[in-house]
Amino acid sequence: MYPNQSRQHQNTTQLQREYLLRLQQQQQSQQNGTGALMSAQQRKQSAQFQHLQQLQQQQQQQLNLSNSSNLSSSNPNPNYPNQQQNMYQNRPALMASNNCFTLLPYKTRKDALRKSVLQKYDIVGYIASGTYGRVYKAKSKNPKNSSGIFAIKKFKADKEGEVVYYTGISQSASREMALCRELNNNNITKLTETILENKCIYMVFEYAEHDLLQIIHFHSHPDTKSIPEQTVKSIMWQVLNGVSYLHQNWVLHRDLKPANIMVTSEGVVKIGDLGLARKFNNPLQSLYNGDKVVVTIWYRAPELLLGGRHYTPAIDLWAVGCILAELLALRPIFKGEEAKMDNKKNVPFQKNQMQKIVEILGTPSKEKWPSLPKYPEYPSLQQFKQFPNNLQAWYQSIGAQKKKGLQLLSSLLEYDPGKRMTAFDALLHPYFLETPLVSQNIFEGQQFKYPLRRIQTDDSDITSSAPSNKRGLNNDHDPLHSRKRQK
Amino acid sequence: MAADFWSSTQRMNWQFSRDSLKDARRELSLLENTMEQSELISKVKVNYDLYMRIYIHSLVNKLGRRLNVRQIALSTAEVYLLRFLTKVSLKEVNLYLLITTSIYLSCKIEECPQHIRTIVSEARNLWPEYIPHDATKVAEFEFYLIEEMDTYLIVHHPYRSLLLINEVLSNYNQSHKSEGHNHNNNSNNNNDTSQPFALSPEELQSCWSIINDSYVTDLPLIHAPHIIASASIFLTIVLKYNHLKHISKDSLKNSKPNTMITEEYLKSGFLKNFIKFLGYSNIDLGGVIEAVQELITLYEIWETYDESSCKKPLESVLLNR
Repeated sequence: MYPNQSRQHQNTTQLQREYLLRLQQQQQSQQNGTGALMSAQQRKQSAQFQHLQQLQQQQQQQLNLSNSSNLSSSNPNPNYPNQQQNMYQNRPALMASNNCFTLLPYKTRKDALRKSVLQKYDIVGYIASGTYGRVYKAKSKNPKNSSGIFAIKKFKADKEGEVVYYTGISQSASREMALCRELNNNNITKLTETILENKCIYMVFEYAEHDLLQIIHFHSHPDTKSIPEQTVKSIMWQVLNGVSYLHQNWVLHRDLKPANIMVTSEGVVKIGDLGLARKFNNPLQSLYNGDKVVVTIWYRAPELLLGGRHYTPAIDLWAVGCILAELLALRPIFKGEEAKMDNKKNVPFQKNQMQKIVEILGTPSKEKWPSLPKYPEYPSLQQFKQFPNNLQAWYQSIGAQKKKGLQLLSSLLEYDPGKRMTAFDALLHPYFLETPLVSQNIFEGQQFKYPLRRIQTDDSDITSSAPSNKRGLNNDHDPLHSRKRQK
Repeated sequence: MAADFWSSTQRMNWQFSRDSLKDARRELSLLENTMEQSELISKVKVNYDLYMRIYIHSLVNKLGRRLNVRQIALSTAEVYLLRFLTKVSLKEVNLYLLITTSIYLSCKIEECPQHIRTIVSEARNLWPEYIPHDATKVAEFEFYLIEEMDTYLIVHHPYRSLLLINEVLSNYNQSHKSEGHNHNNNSNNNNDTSQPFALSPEELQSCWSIINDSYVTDLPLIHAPHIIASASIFLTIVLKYNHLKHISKDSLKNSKPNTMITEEYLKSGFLKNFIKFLGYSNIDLGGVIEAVQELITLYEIWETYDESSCKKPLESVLLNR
């Protein structure tokens, strides 16, 4: 019985050795063949091979050791290995095979069954790109849903190049995936599905023909009139409704701006881009530590500009106030210039942006905003010239008249975040109760023909990972911070 | 919805009944059989039983402690594991890589992200033979993990329910007491203040630990968070009650000085009040009892837990692939 086992043992090690030798030969021939052009994968393989070789040597040494110890323990016959060696045989081999590290065989099973994006959708064309990646317009291939038009957001790989590696999903993408899947409100863009395929993430959203930025642009043309009051009001109500839903569910959006607010062809507002949104009911880590800079500069609340690290949903309401002002004036109300981050990645004081706010809303005072002196940038603020509150004058200068509208605007653009109106209260503001009344379709009662979203039909290669020259995407190499908003 | 369990994807898409969970597991074992027959996976028996789950629980906590990850993120990771393993056989995957990946993902979802390389290197320190150097394996697995969960990632835990129930319980007991005041005179005012209205910090701590243990069982897949929280309170109070009863019996014999405290506690009827409270609340009592039973079973099994009996079969599956 013993000799037999011993032979078995030898056989397994022999087999392993033979396998390694064969691998070695393969490697050598590959190396000779491709020379310096050895691909990364091959290099990895050879590294693994070396690792295996080392393990093999270790194993051999251990084997020798155990043999010698057998001898030293004066085993009468070395050809008959004693119990010790048998124990070694029963122990698992020290060498973890390559397969141990991979997802096989699970992966094989899953990959075989997965339906790809292109099997499910026809890509109509390319819509736009941003820091996050690219968006495409697509049609469902499902005959039951043949009229279904979607916007597919493809997250950018952290490093764009010919070979894409798995690098871990960015914080921003995982937030958006998790939150969009959970949220369900008529004024939030609806996520249909998320497809994870071939190292890429595709999020399939309902398609929205317009967005507020585009609508504002359309009206800012000198020949067109301003946005009708009813439209402004309906937009605002629906935006507030969506924001109120987010806040009730403990979600901060943190990037509200006209470009992120879509409108469907049926005139329904859809708040989009939750890539910077986060839950705040369970702050395991302070909001500031998670993301140093939030909200696009023109829409950034004063408490953020003053360096506040603990902020509240009120920051979203400031942005909503800025959007209301922009819908009325057809240009951003506080169009400051962003100070760039220095090399040490310190967050600079956004002096110019603060200046723009102070010029219209007046210099904030301790009396009206008691916690003001506690903000880190309070000393910088004190160097500002004193300004009175000019909001009413600004409101008249843009040709707006409704008093209640000004009331709403000034309660949204309230300096003290504690006093700023909440989304829930804003929905009940008298502004929305007087005529013209809010409508479910924001286009109701008006004849403007807003242009359709521009689609580049010549660029519909959604699966390609290589950046084409047309898309000037800047590379961002840090996977965790690939979404710093520095606009 | 992110704040409300009742309309959450956890309830809508990831809640099982006992039967549906059994069905899912049966289907999985059929799949396992076919894979064994076609020699895609090892024929070594690896049971996904309570022992194995205690082992998994200990692995999660080991890595979590090394990384200093908050408990909630670890609990989320354990829910991910529970969900994943209803659809995938342990023999198909590398459990250690799976655990690493779950923690990596749950940290991001719970807003306490850890760099992938930190997690991988810590996991590698713990399990060098199973965790590869290169972080892309974890990143790759993340895709499959998310896909397997159908991209539902937000999880509701009993910890918040525990605090809420404690608050309501305290209000209930207080109002109960003030009713008593109307009947009696204010003479026994002193007595009232010594009686507990709500759970003490130590009791809360014990509930918290019981909740942590509930992730070993199927409870998070079957019951709503408040059911598990109620079960943890029930167990805590009953255990304390029994324990104190035991002590007081002993101390009666030995006439120890702490008799007074235990006597008071036993008299205070906090357990009775809690049971009354459960009766008045609309909490599903059947569910609470089931959860209590499942937890007691778990603790019984835990007594005979032996790490190596879980480790060995996994070892042979993983290293002889």
